[in-house]
Amino acid sequence: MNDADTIQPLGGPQRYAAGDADAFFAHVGSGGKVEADDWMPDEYRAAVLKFVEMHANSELMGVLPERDWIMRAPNLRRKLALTSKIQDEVGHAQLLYRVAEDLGKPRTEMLADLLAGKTKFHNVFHYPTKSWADVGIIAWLVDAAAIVSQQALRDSSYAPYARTMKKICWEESVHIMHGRDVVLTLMNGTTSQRAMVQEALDRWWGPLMQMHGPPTDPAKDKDLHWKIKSKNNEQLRQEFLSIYVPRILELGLSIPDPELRHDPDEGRWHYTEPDWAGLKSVVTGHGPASEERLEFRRVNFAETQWVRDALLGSATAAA
Amino acid sequence: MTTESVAPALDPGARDALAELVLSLADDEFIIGFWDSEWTGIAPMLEEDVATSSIAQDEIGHAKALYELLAELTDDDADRIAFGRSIADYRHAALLNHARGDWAFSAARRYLYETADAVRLTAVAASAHPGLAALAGKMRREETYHLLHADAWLRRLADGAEDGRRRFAESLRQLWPDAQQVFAPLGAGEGLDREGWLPKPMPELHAAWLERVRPVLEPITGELPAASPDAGGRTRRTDDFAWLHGEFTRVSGSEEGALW
Amino acid sequence: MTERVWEVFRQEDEGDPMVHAGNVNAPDEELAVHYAREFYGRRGESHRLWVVPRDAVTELDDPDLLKPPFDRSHKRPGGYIIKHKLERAKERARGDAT
Repeated sequence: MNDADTIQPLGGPQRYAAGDADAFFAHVGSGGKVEADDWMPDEYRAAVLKFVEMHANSELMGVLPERDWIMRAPNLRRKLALTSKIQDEVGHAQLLYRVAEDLGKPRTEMLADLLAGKTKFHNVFHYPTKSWADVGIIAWLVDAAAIVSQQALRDSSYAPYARTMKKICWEESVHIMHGRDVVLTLMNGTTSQRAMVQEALDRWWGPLMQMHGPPTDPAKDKDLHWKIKSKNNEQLRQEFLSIYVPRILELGLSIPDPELRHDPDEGRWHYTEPDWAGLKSVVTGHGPASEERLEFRRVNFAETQWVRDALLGSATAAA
Repeated sequence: MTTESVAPALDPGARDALAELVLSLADDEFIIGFWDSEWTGIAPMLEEDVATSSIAQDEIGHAKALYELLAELTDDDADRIAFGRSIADYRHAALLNHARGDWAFSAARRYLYETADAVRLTAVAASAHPGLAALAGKMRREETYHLLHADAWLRRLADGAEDGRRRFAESLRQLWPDAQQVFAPLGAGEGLDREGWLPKPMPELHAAWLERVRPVLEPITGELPAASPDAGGRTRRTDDFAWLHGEFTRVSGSEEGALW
Repeated sequence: MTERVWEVFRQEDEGDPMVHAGNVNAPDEELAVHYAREFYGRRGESHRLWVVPRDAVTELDDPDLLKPPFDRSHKRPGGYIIKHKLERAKERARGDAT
């Protein structure tokens, strides 16, 4: 009887034994997932932690540029949308710090490292804002560039991160609509409103092109190898350009890069080489608003320390 | 909207009385929503940040609905009313004249405001104006959470470490006289009564609120002085409010006729 | 900080299963419930939430217990392949009838 032959045995990625690093990497390399309580090699744990911690820091610091405008939102609908958007970024920071905490680093320590300038956050959040159009450009294009990266992380081998990215991507899609709506309203408005958008785009384009980082050698990129992420920097930048360049140009805006063009034969975008040394300087805390933003966080964190102390005091007393 | 059928029948006196009541409710929600929204991104814990921001957004949402009702009554535009007035034309209670202060100050104000608002909304939900009554009913559903949240913080600050308890008690004492002004008499007092827009008079609402909060607050603050609503309770303005007004009109007032 | 971690489960709609949504930090149960509402319900996306202290969760993930190596196909509907047997039976039944 051959019926039994047609029954598929229980499948799934290769299992691995605790302590067997080779088997672990074979597991993640073949599409296997890792949970917080699973055994993992220290180098994998450290790589995921570093990646997620920087992402969490970026969400937290990314709150501040838009927060410059939270008291200046110009009508009821925008007030609601902007407040809600910034709130979501705080929520994302919480979700990501939770993922990172479960890898073994307490939140207080991560915040302390961020405030001390020991850990990094994304380059785009090191720049000042100047006009209401920045609110539109950030929510539309900075979030769009971010979502391109984040969508590629929904597949991460580190399962708690992958699940969190699914939730975050859904929320980000709302932000992009809000940003695009702000930009469209301004573009359909007065001459000075249109000029305001162009001026904002001119300022943000450079940082946007740097945002995904310099091209790296995929063979040497461990995060790719271990499937912590699934796309390299240049793939992400190309994807962003393919979707958003046409959407920017169709509004009558111009992109401040004379070299920018799509080569249909190569199937890729050419652009002026971004200033990679400049990027490195910015993300190591030497951007135009880096120190101001960190100082703002330090002051606020210090001013609310008594609340955290009071709360834990009352929880301990009640226990 | 039921106001469609009610509005044309209103005589000007009755309409003005209703408009004054709605404006006072709307401005209260608008201004407290603005102040509390400033915590977004910098609250003491990330979880609390999200909670506080939700509440601030709820208040702005209530203000939006109230301004829209007012715009129907007065043939105006909700955003124009919210953002397009000079400082002297706002009608929020003096309680909302202050900047957010520290976390204890914001928590103290929210407790005072939420409890006063709860008493007031119960009355407004029985208003003779069906549109306003329905709106107040909806607002009360969201205010349930606000009250729980404000109460949770009151207990934590009052029962927590000494530093927090002291800050909280001081804030409550400082805000106490201005908190009474949520019940400040409106110019159209008699009109409100006659038309049934506000089925219980302000002094009665004020007394009900005092009865509710004094026993909760005095163990924290010590005896609170006698204080009453007064005629200027919704017209006095401060430098803090002038700053806020400058902020929220900075973009909206930057170009005549522009949409944002 | 000695904040506790609380696991949150959500039911999207009436009758749906409770599905793990994520977790929050909170010093006590009351605030944990407030924060769960914020993180997993502020868009109106949940019908019901369960909030559980993490240390109340007992985990079992041992493959020897959950994915034993021997065939368990008799426990699953897909383990019964009847197509050919059914055809033979029908053929036989038709033959009997004639």
